[in-house]
Amino acid sequence: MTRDGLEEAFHSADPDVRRQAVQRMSRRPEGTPLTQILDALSDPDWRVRREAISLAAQTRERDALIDALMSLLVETDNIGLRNASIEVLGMVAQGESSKFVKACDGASQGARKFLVEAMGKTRDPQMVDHLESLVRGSDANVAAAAVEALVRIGGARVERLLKEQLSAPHLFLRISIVEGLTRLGTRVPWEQLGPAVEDAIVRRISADLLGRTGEPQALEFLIELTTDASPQASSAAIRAIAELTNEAVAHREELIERLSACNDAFRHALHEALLHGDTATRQGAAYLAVLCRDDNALEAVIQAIADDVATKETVEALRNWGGGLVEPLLMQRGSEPGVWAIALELAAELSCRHADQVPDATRDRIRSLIERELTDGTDAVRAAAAESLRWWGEPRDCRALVECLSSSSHQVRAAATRTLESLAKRVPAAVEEALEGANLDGPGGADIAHVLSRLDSGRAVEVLKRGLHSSDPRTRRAAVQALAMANAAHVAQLIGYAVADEDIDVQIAAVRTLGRMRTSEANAPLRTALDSPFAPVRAEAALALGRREANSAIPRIRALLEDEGPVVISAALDALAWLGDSEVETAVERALCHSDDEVFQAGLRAARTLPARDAERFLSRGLEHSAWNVRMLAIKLLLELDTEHTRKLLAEALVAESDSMVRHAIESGLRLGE
Amino acid sequence: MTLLDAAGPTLSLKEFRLLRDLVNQFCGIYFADDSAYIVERRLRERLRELGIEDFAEYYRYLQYHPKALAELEAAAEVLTTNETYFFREAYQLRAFTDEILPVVRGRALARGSKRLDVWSAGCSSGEEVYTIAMLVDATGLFEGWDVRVFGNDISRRVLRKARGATYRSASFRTMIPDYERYFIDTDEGRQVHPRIRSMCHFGHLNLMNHRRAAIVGRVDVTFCRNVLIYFDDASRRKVLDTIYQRLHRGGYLLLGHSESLLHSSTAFEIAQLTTDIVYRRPVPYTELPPRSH
Repeated sequence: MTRDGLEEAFHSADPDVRRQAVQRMSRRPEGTPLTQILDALSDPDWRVRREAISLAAQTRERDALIDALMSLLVETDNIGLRNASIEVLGMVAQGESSKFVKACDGASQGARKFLVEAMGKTRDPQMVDHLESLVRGSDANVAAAAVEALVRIGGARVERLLKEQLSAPHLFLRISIVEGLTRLGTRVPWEQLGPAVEDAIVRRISADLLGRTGEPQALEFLIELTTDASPQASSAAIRAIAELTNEAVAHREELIERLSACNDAFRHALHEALLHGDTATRQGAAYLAVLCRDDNALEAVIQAIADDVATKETVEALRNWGGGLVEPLLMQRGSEPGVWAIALELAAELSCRHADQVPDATRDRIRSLIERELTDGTDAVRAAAAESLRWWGEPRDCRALVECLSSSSHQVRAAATRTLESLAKRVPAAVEEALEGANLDGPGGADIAHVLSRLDSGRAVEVLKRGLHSSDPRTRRAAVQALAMANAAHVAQLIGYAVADEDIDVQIAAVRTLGRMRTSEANAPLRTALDSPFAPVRAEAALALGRREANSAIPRIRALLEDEGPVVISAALDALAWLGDSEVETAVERALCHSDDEVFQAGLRAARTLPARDAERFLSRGLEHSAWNVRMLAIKLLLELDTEHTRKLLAEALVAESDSMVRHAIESGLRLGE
Repeated sequence: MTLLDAAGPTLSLKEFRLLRDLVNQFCGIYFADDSAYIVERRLRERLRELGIEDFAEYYRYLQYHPKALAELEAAAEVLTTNETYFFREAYQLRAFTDEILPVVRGRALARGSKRLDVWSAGCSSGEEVYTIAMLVDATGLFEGWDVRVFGNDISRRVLRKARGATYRSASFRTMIPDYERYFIDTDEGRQVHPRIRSMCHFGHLNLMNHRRAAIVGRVDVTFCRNVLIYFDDASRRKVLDTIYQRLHRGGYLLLGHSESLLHSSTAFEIAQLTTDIVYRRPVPYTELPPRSH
């Protein structure tokens, strides 16, 4: 679009045309005049203003823009323009605290709030000094706006300041502070929070902070809040009690006792939260219901587990309930299949773990339920019954479990496989007998192979060899893996044939398996695999030969450094480093110029095998990489070297690092080395 | 234990972040760090299926294996959340029938067309698609029209359920009694009436795949409710661009009640209805009817 066309579009009566014009302006290499930016920011349509905000953030007249926007904030009554100005100042006015101070001094109380809001949006810690003085000032409205701005900036100093101000005289200000500390995730000690929550209004919004104190005194306030008329307050209280109970380890028993003694109103709130709460509330409610041993809530708790909502702590707490939970679990038989499946599995486990607490009649009932569900249940329940036999399984169950291996359900086959693998250790003869005649060509062929690999028997190995001829590639792959696990002798050549299998995953499994075998018979097929048309197979072959210390393969592996597949180059470099190739340094130099992260990381790993000074030089380059995982690897390897110089490098890297996980790795690494 | 805590390889935080980024690039879904446990539980099934021993190897598989794309689909399948039910967010559906459908009908007639196209983007197991079709049918405004409601999802499993059109009690938690007539009781559950089913179509579509979304054609209304909440900002913008392209001018976009476009897209305008606020692909100014005084 021409310049004139753009001007015309900018003044169009159609807001969408104006919006697109502003979008195009931001792509003009010569930039946009300040007057036009300000016009766009005051457009009556919000979509045009939003595009104008992005346009303004790119301005070449930053100082003039900041001055103009600060003046506008003080003068204008146009709400759209005012909000847009605040947004833009938040984006461009970092380092301009003195301008804000000056503007605030000359502004009315109303306008000062807008300037304060913009200060917060800059997220510039330099603003904290002035905001602190406003928090301590006499105007509660401006002080509350300053609290909000401080929360946006965050940091230890802000948290300390807000905690100190919890005793401020204005209720309005205290509410702002509590909300701010909640959002910051601050832990306020009970000594500071206790006096503030004496006020009922403040208490109502303090649930999160109360939960984080870890102090039993907080519990009574929270129990009261669970029955609050506001569902938000009630849900927050339930989440907070769950956190408090989890955190206050020393007082947990005391807290649970108090919760268990709570009245019906509390129980009702808990059930409502379990059934209708958001994910976090359901999580908290499920945990509390189990801690309070509330068997009326059991179905909802198990539903939360089935929905992947419940936490590990909830599952653990269910287990700690003990034998007394078995009967209530069995009463879930009429529930949805997902719920009944979990109930059955847990009942089977608990009745074995706590056999002394469960009557024989109940145990008999569980046994017959498992047998019935193993054949007649829905997939989820059938899987649960199969899993339960890990606790209850006897030789007579093997045949039914083997039948489960033919199920079309992945879940059923997986459970039956796990149980048969465990029975193979206890009653191998029964498992082997049940597997006789099992069909390796069916959907469970791969699973049968897994089970066979656990049997230390010649017959099982013979069956596995037959699995190499299966029409299903999953079965052939499993048979290859299983033969290695079964420690079968004289199978290297058979597995070598699988290197020429028509399925790539069978080839990869074969190469990997051969790499783990001691026999020299494995070398020939592995060298062949270096020429595979599939990059992952070439890569596996290089790694396998490297692990086998096959020095004679070095020239062929070196050739793979020229491969077009990054996965192959990366594997070749790893293999050459393991083999101690004399040309690794050159390969490292090239790898550290490669665009693929995995190749770069292989370069770093190989560099670690070089003399310390060279290693340091190469590894330090990883600290500047754009990918966080590459920097993590460089840090790990530099920490292994642990010289004065590497510690200095890491300390420098820490200053520039923005990724929290990488920062943590450096900090903890340096601390450990002290 | 399988259902309670599933045994298997563990997922380190580093592996979680790498896998999360791959899944995010593929289908837009973003997992916060506190979801690592759920991701670990759900992906274990994939590792077992592939005969892979640990998550580091699985990550390499997703990067370099010739079947990586198919596996990313399978991973997305197990990682997506698919909770939905009939007549979800009734106030919005009221706005759809009372205010949007009459406008859309008028626009279609003005185009000389008797066809209504509605897209349920991220339809999960199909309850929303059938709800829309029932609502359209019940208005009586589209007798003799060609009505097509298209639902897409990235999960083949939920699409199978959607095509089956048979549902159990959890899908009817906010059922409106007047619409019971659209269901037939069967042994497996309650099945949507064949007449309604004939209006509904389903397809396997990744919303991040802009080009493939062209199969949706041009639509009058798009429902994309409680889908974008699982996406990161960049992916959300990308999907919204696609939805914009697929809407007729003046076509409507309905998001979930907690969702807003304020920070995601300026391409849509707000349409203030009596019971709801929805979004609309702008109509060129010149095509707007004159204001009545």
